[in-house]
Amino acid sequence: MSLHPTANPWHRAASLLFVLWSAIVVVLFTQTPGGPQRAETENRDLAGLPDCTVETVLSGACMGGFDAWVSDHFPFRSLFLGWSSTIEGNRGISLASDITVIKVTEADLARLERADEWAEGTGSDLAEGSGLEPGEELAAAGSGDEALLGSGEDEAAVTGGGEPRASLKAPTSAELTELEKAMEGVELPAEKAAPASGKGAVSRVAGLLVQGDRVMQVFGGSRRAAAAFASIVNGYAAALPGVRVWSVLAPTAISFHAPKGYDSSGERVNIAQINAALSPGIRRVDVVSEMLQHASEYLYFRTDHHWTGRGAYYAYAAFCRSAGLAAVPLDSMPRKVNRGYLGSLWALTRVPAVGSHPDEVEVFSPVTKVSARVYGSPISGAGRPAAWVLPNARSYGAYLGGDFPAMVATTSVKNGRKALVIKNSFGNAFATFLANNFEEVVVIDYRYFNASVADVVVERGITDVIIAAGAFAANTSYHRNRIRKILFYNGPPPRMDSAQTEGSGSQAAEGSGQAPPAVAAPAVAPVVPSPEVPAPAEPAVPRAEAPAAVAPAAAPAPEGSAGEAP
Amino acid sequence: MVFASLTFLYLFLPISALLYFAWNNITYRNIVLTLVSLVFYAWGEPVWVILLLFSSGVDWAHGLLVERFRGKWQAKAALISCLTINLGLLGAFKYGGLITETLNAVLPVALPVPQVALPVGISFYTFQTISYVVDVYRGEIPATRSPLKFLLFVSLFHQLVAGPIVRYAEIAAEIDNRVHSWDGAWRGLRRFAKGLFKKVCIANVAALLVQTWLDGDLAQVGAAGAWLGLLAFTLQIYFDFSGYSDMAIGMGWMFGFHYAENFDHPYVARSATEFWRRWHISLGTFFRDYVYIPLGGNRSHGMRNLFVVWGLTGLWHGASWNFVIWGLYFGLLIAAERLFLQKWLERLPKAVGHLYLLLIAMLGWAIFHATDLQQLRQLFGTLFGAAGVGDLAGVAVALRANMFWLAAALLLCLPLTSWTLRWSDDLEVAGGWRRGLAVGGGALAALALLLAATAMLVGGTYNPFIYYRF
Repeated sequence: MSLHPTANPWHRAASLLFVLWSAIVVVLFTQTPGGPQRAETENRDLAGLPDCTVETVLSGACMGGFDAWVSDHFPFRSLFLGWSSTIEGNRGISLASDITVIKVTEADLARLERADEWAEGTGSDLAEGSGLEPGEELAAAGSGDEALLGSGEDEAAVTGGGEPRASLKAPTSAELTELEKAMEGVELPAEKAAPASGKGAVSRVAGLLVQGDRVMQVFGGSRRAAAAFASIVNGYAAALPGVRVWSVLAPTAISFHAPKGYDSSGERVNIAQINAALSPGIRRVDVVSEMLQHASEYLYFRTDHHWTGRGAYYAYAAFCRSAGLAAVPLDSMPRKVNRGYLGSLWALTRVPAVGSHPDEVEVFSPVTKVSARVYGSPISGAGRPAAWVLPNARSYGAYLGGDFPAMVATTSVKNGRKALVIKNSFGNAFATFLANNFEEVVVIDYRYFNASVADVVVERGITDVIIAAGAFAANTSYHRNRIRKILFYNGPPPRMDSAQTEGSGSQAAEGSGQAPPAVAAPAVAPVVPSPEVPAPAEPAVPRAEAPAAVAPAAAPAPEGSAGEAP
Repeated sequence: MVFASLTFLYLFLPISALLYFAWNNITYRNIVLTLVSLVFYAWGEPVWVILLLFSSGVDWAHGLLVERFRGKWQAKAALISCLTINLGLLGAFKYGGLITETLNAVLPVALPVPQVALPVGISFYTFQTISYVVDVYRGEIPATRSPLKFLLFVSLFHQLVAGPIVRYAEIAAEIDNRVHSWDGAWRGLRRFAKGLFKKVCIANVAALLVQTWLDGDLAQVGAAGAWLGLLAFTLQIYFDFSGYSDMAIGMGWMFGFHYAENFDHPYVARSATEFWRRWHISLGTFFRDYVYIPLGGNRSHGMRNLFVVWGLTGLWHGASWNFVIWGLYFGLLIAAERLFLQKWLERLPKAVGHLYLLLIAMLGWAIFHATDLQQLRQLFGTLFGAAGVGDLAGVAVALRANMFWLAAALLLCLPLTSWTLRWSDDLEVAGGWRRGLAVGGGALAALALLLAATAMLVGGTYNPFIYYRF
């Protein structure tokens, strides 16, 4: 090296310190495997080396992928993660009672929905050997994103563009009005505090509420969305005569752990509105009341947006009560507790107080013998053997092992009952318990399943159809559209339906783009709620004088706009 | 690629240095430096690296033409051609959208608005090449015959994407012949670590506060929240940009180049005039030397020239009218200071000057932050109470939760490091164990800054870069 003759030895030593450190890192990088690896504490797959082709280089995807690989495989990564947590935690003084609303991008919130990316790690191993079309589930996830991010206007494009038409009849505006009338007197507290601008609606959903070591999603739903969801469940009941149809909606942590002075009734009111609007033949499952009786237990993860296995158990108990089944007592099930789970909400916020207190995953195994298989859509062939519960998993993936288009579990129960669960990730934990009471449990993830549910019901002799999802999903048009769509998937034979043709011109509601007048489901009777459906007793709680930072939650939801992630 | 990324810090930079120092030959080293610079640029702009090469080729050729026809009309023609091409490229890529949108708004036309992504660093390297051809035309520097050396000057990754705006005259001699020393390496590493820390540990954290308090629903954060957000933005933009300049200057030292300082603790200034002598110095001097003085300086049409310069300065920062307003706002303040304000301020206690500068700088950043006029109105309304006092409790929580960080950030706005470095230099001069103490302490401090920044980069996912837009 042509170094200056008067080089100061101290300066050389100081510089060499840095040279040495970089050299260690570079050398360690050359020893790093290129393939994806599992990060156990984060419950996700670390990035593998990217595929570099001319196209990905020109688009920058190759370099972006390489950057991701570098940061995922950085030498001494866990040490540095600890340091960063220490630095973050010492930026100032935080008290456990402090409430902050963290703004995250809507794209990030939408990622919560693709739960496998965060916590369950099923994506890549699924495509092999399960008879799935490669990329099938990815395509489904992709379109979900689009819909989550899009505004109301985009919805039509999502369902319309080249895809098969939505097959279940959308509620007409007349029906919606009927539903709303039936629910008169039930007013969301949120709707009273309408912000002046449309912008407030965006910040409403793009918020996560942090208190101490817990992160919660801020609820944004609307009465109109509740009515729309109920009409879909009613549509299932009408289309599947002789089959019991249930709606089991999972509340989220905000209903149980909202900070003092924060109006958290929105979600419970919304669920009550949905239940109130179910047609009379459908028996109610009062998940919220059952869970409230056990509110002091560990029902929700603090670092993840899901309920715990225990939380889901009480939903199962409520379901059994309505269904006339005997719920297996919690303490008679094999139980395993795994420590060290940092879930999706930690990953999104990286709040040190949250990260330094990981969750425990409590896994209950059914008392019956269960053999489960994973399928693509439609359910055909032999499928692939899969775990119904993973007793040792340190993530929400412990239940069902993740999200698959379809799963079928056969059990040692002999009672002639067969359940079909139409679910998003909230339904995973719930579904595992059903193996205690049904001969067969079919689990369909409506986000990834592209075939007809009605066919499955007929072919397999299903007796109970349970729509089990998060309350957020019920209030998001993408999710409703998917649930509606897969009932018949390719659509029933077209038939003119004069009533609907007439009504379609004035359909200002979200359904207008998806249900062309000519295609109406013959099996679906007009949905008119029974007049004796009582309005939920939940009073409209006046908004407390909460600090503005928490107020976004109470802003109204122009129906299912964007980013609500169940 | 950006400096504040693990790929850059721990792969690109060490490997580049290894290749560079592998063979002691200036041509070899210049070739290595040029090639790695192109890789650096292509990492983020795999397509627009072509534009960089094209632009360099054009300006290199124009430099030669200007020199070949020195004193003749062809030289002037070459200069005009060069300016047309450079400003044309800048206009097309950076201002095409603004121009068509404005025409559409003003005239009864509906031109298609071009949707061109802004090539990173185009504002910086275009200005560097313009200054080169103009300097050749003025006879201040000879044109370089070597396309390699010219390409090195344009593409040198230290200052390619975020400045400082380096002039050819400053580094021409060092391109041909430069000294590498452990002294320079140490000085550069120290400076680099400081800049990296400023960017990663101060600016990125400030960005999170900005996101929460300034980018959300202003009606809900109210005046208190908006001022907190504005304070955070004031810190973010300074630490982001000056951190990048520190890193550029530091890398220059490591590789034997000496770039002029770009920031000199601007928030300690006591007037807008002084602020701009301390903020983005290389941009200020560029406009002074290539626009203000050629227009006649303060001798003829001084006021007109001043507003032309400040309008352009604003426009340089972004293709949106709020930047022009921001530039003219400073033009107005500087004009007022020149006419009377400076005299008044000098009669008052120094603290008044400091408060005055901090207030106008922050309000300036409010203009800078708002991307359209409606947002601008809303932000100013909120700052001055249109949405009420706002979320005092939330602001108090945020301040408390960030108090140590905030104190560190505010202290770093003072020329503290200059004082400590002077102290450390004094110790070194004293020699003996004092020298060991100074260097050892400095090394540990720099290593701590580097490791802290590394930890934040490993742990954090949030790494915005404000000046990338320019």
